[in-house]
Amino acid sequence: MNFMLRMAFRNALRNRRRSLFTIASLVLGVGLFVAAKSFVDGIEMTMVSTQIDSEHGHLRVVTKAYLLDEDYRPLDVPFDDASAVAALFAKTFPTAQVESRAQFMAQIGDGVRTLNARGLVVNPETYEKMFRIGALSPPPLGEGGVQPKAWAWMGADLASAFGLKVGDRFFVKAKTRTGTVNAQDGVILAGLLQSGSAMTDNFTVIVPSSWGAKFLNLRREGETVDYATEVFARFGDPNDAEAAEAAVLDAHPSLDAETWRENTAFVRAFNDIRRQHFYLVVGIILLIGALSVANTSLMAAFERTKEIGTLLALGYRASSVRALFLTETLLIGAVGSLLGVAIGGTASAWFERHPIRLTGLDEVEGGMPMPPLLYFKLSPEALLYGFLIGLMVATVAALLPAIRASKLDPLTALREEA
Amino acid sequence: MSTSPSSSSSPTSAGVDSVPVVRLENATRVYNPGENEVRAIDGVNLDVARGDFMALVGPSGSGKSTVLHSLGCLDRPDVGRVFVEGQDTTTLNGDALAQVRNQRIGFIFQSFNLIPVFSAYENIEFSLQILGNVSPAESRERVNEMLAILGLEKQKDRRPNQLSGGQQQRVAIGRALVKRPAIILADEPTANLDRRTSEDIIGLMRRMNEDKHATFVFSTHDEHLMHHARRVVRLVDGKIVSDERKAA
Repeated sequence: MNFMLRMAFRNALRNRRRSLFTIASLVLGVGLFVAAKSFVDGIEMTMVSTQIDSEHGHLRVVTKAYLLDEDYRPLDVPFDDASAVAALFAKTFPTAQVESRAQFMAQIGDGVRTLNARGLVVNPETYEKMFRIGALSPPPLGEGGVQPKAWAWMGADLASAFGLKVGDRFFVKAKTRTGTVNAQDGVILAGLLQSGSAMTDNFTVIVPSSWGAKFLNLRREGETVDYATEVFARFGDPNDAEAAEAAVLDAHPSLDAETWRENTAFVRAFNDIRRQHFYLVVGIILLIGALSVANTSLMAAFERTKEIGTLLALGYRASSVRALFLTETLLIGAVGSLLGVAIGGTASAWFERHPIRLTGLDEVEGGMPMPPLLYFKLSPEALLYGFLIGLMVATVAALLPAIRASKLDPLTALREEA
Repeated sequence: MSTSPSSSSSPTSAGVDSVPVVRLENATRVYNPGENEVRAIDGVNLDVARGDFMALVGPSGSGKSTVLHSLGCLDRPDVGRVFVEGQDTTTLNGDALAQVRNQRIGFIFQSFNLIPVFSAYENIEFSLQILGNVSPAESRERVNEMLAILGLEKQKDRRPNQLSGGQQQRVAIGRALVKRPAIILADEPTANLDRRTSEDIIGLMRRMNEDKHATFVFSTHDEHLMHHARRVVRLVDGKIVSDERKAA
């Protein structure tokens, strides 16, 4: 075996230019595979993270009744069990962060134009710890140290549509829990929300419960807890979401829950399509690599016909000739695949730390949670699959030339170029 | 040196031992069957005895190479049989024939046919490697002994393209001999060598025949090589027309 390896290794070096070309084509194919997989995995990771960080947490719990009318963001379907759910999570998952909020249908304007938006009533101190959408700090105190009456935070893109800057004023109009329509003028824009989520950045205005609860008539007499329409949880281990979902549904049959995995299924499905497109391109490049390998192997078989005849005449078995040719190609394939993995892996690792800035991509992506910074995500699987695919391409491509070489009649082969 | 007529057409007449090393029995080989068929050998009977130093001679197209290839299990007669040390090889499949060639037959080619990526040492070692049942220590000993006999100790690390024609043919002889085959078949072994180198190679083969009792069969046009043969089989139009054995 050592002898065959030695012969295969030296044969692989016989036509260095050809071997180098073959290696280069494999490096290109394998390197692009690793980079493409890391790129799409990175997009998926970023989109999922964005969705978790800005919108959903690891688990969202609502009442079944609320789900029926969610499109209208009704305020008259309260989540009465919010504190019980929070207590359940705190007991079962000590690392869980629990947050609640109330969604409402809002209309905002600057006196000239109005736009429909999604309104959220939150406790800013806790909400900004759960969701990474930017700081929810109150505006500076007014003259004489007086707290402004009303303030809110708005998605950066939504604010941009009005030309609003931090400190500017606008009005908010909304249907309250009791069914009346209230309007609040002179609301100070306290900050801009920037998350990468189109829902947050383009359509959301966040109102602190300090004045929002009254504005929307959320607290009725006798109610002691903050009004909520949704409850969110974040766990130390995201995999706890499924167990938490089961626990809450078991304890509260009137509730419905959705884990981050269920919520981001559309992201993965979308990225699977993207992945297939990338793999198609990489596959074409690998096919070119395979043709290069096949050409190298075939040329070697043609050029060394007499040598193969000599080997067979000396008693080398056909299977050994086949193994010799396959070993030669595998060596070239292994070098090409290793280099491809190394180059693709290095590039991906670099882009893991240095994201690509793609502004406006969220619009192209049709509302997908697509932040402007795209990080690659290099995984051991990408490296392993890249290496194995390179080897497989080389082996499959070399199979026919190797079989052809092994089937040569020794006498006919010996007469070649004699 | 005197010559004596031979009754070579009989399968049993030429052997020194009772079982010939290789025997062709009524071997006929036809190329391009049909209108343009060529009868390369036609009903050839030939026994090669252990220790023979036999020259196959004849004009071009007389069937020398076909006889040599049939003896070496590289070609299969269309009619007739080939026995190697008593074993009928006519019905063996490719792998079994490869095993016969591996274990019992050594080849020396006109253009040396060394493996270009191997050194002189490795080319000789290669024979033992594919033989399979030789320990590394024994392999080393046998290859070094062969290099010493061939006078190639100083050139053992050189690759074929760094060796002269004569040196390459010596390596080829070493490669054939090192596995101690039953028979060594040489196809025009001196055709690509100059006069002096040819004599050198002939002398080496003869010495191996006498000292190591190696059995040689070679095809040749070389009068000088013929002169050294102890048995000369002459072919014309695919038939043996004479089989002369010279007195020792």
